[in-house]
Amino acid sequence: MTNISLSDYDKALLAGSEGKAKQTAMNIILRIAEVQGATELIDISRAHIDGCIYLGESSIQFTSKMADNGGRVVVPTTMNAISIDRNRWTEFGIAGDFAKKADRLAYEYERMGVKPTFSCTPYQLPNAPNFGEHIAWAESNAVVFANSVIGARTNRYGDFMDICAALTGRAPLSGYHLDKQRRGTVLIKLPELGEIDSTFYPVLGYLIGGRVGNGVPVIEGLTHKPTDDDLKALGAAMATSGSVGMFHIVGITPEASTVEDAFGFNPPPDVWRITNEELKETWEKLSSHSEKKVDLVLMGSPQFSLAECEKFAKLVSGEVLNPNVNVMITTNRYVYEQAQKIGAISEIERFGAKVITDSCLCMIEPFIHDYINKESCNIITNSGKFVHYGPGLIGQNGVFLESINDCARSAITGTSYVSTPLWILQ
Amino acid sequence: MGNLEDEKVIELKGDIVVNGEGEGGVISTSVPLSFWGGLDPSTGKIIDKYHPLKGRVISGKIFILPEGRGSCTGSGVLVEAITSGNAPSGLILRKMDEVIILGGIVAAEIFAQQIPIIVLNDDDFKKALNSSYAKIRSDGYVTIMN
Repeated sequence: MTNISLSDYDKALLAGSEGKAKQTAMNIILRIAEVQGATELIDISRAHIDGCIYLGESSIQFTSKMADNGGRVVVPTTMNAISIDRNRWTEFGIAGDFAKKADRLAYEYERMGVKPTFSCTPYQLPNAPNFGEHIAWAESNAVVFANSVIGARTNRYGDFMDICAALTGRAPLSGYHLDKQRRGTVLIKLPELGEIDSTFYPVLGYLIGGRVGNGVPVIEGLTHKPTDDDLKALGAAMATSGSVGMFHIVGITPEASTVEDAFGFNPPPDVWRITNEELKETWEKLSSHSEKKVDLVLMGSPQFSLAECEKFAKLVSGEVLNPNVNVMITTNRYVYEQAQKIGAISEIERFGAKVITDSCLCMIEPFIHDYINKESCNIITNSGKFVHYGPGLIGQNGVFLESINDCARSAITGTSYVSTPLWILQ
Repeated sequence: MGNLEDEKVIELKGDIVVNGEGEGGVISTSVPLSFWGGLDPSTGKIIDKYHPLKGRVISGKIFILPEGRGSCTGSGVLVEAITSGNAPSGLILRKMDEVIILGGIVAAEIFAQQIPIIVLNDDDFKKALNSSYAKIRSDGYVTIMN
């Protein structure tokens, strides 16, 4: 730690004058700072905790120890989706022992002052961060959205580092906190595209993430105007197949008014002209290939927004859910309440879909445990993130990507929809 | 230059991220892995459907991969794997992946249980990828056998 210059506050924390929890937090931050080659720490104005997903005993041991040792957050801190629907876990048949542990973990974070927002889309909650703000967010999709779409500055903070930053208000000055690291590393030129639907963004993101790894892709040539939900899907997929923490779209995202702007007025180090074939191959890899009986339709990874609830409610308005299909949508309580006010929840629930709050598809296994027939179970999702992780998380290979419109159609007909999207020009 | 590739024992010097000693059969990949959603910490098994090592168990092995990808919860999964006794004996990386490294650091700082994590340069990493057995020493040297 010889090369890191510490403020008086940092030194006091390290000496333990603010308690054991903050001392431990500062120790961990400095070890990471050292690995990153940071020479100083900066103030962060807020944090988002991803360590609230229950993984096993170590999750609770770490968190309760920090809380017992007097750990209290010093900046506004939100909590990610957790492993249960806190109010309705019995309704979904979740085992009591598991539910208690998942609940206890969330409680330990609340004890430290973390707000029980239970959202993996904190950027779609009120009081989202502002442009240029230094923050410490964990949750890969939230990190990439905050950096790219909002222009806030956060690294890909892992579990534990998130709460360490929240307890101290400090983080290493490194990575995406620095102007230089936010510049593009590869210019991606899009081909001419047909009509864009909601599968385009997760497919494009999945393709890009798999190739650029931890680079900063700069996308040029997008003529469609993406919604926040499109950008959410794009970033989430990039941060799944790769470890992308930031992207630019020329003319759309705030640090890329032009190509030159996105590259800091340096020539692009690399150029990739994406072809229609590459897009088609990626779509084929993630989609179902042939018509199949559908057992489950799972949506909301990242959690459904108000706009997505409204859209799905319209798509199923007056329709009847196929009796062989179960539909589950994950969102947070804030969106749920907003969607209730506009009547979207009542329409979705009338249709027969279940809307889960507090959790996310990443933690869906206990919710669908009873539905998963290990022999053959076909699951349709709108999520480029869940289509990748789903098979490993639930031990079931049949997870396929469709647009929200086709998810609705599959839920009604009981059969997957497999036509090539119009945006792939043959 | 003799062609002794088949039975070579090579020593490589890496950067120590987490100190320690460990050895074992090598499981290696050039494809990044998200530990969360990619590794089951209760068995040590790789569960990512799209990863070439799907189905392999890395417990007790030297796991060699360029870096992580995907989820920020990778650090939590590594800690759970270490504390439940299902972790590899050591990790060799190409890049300073902050999510994986954090897991190793927290296991050491909070749980006083550690596995060595070493970062190698490009050339040495390529050599290590092709090895069948590796031993990590506390001074950061890695001995690999083909």
